[in-house]
Amino acid sequence: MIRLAAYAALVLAAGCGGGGARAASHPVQIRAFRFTPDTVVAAPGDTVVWTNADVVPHTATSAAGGWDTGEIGGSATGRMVAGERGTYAYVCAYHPTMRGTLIVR
Amino acid sequence: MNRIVAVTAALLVATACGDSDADTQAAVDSAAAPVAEAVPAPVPSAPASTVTDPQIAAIVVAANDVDIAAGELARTRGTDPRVKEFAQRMITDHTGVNKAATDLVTRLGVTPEPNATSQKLTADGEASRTTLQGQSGAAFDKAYVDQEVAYHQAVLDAIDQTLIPNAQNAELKALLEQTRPAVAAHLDHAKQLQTQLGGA
Repeated sequence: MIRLAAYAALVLAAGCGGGGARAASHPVQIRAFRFTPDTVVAAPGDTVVWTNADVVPHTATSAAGGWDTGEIGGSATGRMVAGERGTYAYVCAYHPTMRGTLIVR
Repeated sequence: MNRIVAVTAALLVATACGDSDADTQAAVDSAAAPVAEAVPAPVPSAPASTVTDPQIAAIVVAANDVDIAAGELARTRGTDPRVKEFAQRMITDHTGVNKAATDLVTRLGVTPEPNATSQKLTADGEASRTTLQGQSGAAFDKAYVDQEVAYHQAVLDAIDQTLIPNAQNAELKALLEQTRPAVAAHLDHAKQLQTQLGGA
């Protein structure tokens, strides 16, 4: 439910910025307490998909606030749609030593 | 402080020395020293003891159970929200690792074999919680976090020096390798918290 709400909010945040362009999907693997790749470059409207290969839950959460996948359990996925252009540092809210960067341009 | 020394001692015993009572007692005797001096440094050159897969399984479960129980105590008795949150994270993560380990050994038909190291971990964990229960407020928070730093360092050393090198089954070895980053991340998180509490 939380994940769905976050997803819906992020879709709304993205608005119609994608125009008619084809949205792309950007996979990020969460394994061994790392985001791989640790930097993703996406266009507004693209979807970033995190897949958790660890046995413990993680999140992908903007360090500055504004977006959060919510909890991503083991073997589960979390996603968000890129909104406004910018560079967003993100962390796992549960494990603050896990860091990644999302660049929207 | 006792838990730091006792659990660290148990894991160092597993790591380097087999289960010699003399070694264990020597390590436990150092409990009277201040924390910073009480935690013996790992001995990288020490030969790894031989443990079997069923024994490794029992050590993994015992090590996780010890930290889950400490987390449950800190979740209720801790004061600082960051400490309580960390404690909850330890409960969640170590429960997840234990489930993965239990699922794997069940599938492999391996029955965890309690051994001197796993039994000592359990006994020391209980004794340490008793010690922690005598503390409260900021002193409890600090003692718990200090223990978590020492505990995860000791577990990391045991994984590197004893558990992974001795694991025979490839899937058990892979699980240990998958667990290592979790323990390393917990150690870094605990150190971060230790610094924050020290600066508070």
